[in-house]
Amino acid sequence: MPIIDQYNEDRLIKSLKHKDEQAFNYLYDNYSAALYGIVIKVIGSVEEANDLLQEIFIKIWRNIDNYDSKKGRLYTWMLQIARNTAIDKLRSSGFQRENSNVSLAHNPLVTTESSSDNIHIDHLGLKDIVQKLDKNYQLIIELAYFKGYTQQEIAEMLKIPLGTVKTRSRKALIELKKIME
Amino acid sequence: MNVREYISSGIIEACVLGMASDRDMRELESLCEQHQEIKQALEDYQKTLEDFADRYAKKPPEFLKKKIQDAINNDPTNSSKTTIEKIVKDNNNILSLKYLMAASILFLIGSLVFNFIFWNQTKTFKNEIAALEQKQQISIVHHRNNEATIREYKNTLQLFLTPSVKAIPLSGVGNHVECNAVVLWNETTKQVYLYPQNFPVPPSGKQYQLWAIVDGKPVDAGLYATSGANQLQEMKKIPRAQMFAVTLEKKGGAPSPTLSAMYAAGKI
Repeated sequence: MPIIDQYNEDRLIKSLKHKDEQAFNYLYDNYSAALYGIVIKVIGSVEEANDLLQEIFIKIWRNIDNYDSKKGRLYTWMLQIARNTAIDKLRSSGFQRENSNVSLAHNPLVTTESSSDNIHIDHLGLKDIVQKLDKNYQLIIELAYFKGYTQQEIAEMLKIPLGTVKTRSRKALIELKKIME
Repeated sequence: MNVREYISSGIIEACVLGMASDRDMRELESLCEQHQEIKQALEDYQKTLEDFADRYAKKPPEFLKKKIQDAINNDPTNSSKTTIEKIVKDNNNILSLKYLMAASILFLIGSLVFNFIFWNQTKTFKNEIAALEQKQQISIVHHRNNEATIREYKNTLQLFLTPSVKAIPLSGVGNHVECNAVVLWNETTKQVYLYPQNFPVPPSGKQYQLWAIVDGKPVDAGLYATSGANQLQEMKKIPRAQMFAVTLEKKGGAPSPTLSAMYAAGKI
């Protein structure tokens, strides 16, 4: 995430609420890559991703008045909008029909690896993280976060009890946190 | 509600990963408001996941920025919002204009009030100054009077100290015992001065007259000016005398003294 301190975030929120054009520029220049990345990861298709990114920015612009800084950071809010928009598209009947050949449950790890050349240069690259993270945990994160499956659906897909899904997702995040520190 | 239990239940992680139901999400939101610990745990996990998601960041194609910008500018919901914004802004402007006018009028009234207050004060001050000036005038007069008196005393003193001047005391007579006087007689120049003490102001139409008794016969030595009250006054010159006396005569004097109206007398 770009380093935006609280003061700058407050100013950005303020100018967004005033619909300043400068705010859009700032927003796009600093956040579009992160949001686009998520969308691509979720949806896979670049064409779709472009349209979705537009939809996402419009949503952000329209709903900025509903954003309450007490409930969390601006980036969290925007990322949620991006993820939800992409997942909605992914799970929409139209998309499912068009892309029936994409086997979602089977090769999440392949998807992960193919996105590794998109990484944001960092001291701990995506590849490293993915390699260090237990496969089971990776899977949970992939299915839940990047594909939008519910706990129930995941339990059924992986043929594990619901309780296990819960404990695994908890451990996955703890583990992920450890790796990234 | 056991916070520890809630945190270890994995429900927060499920929410963060987007797996939880709407109900669970809402419950978490309200619990965050009540328990800082829960809020903290949520934020920690969110951060972890977001940092992870950031690794997937990819720069969108160049053309997309302008396309999105245009879409936003042309968004119908967007423009209606800006229109509303504009109207609100204009209303605010008109409102501020009204406020400005109201404020200006208040200022005007305020300044008029102040003007009146100051004008009043100025009047009062002017009156006070006039009164003070009057007092000052009175003071000046008093001062002058004092100076005159001092000069008189000086002159009197001089006279007393002059060697050739003889001081002849006149004692009050009859009913007028308190009416003493001093006659100063300059033996060289023959000038005579009368200096009465405690003499009452003569009734209107009457005047004090000084007499010199020369060889048994009274000689007019001059009239004491009515205005002078118990002050030294120069009288007529008398070359020779054995006695002096003061009587009260009618204004303008008498050719010979009214003996019953004698106030003071003294031998030389």
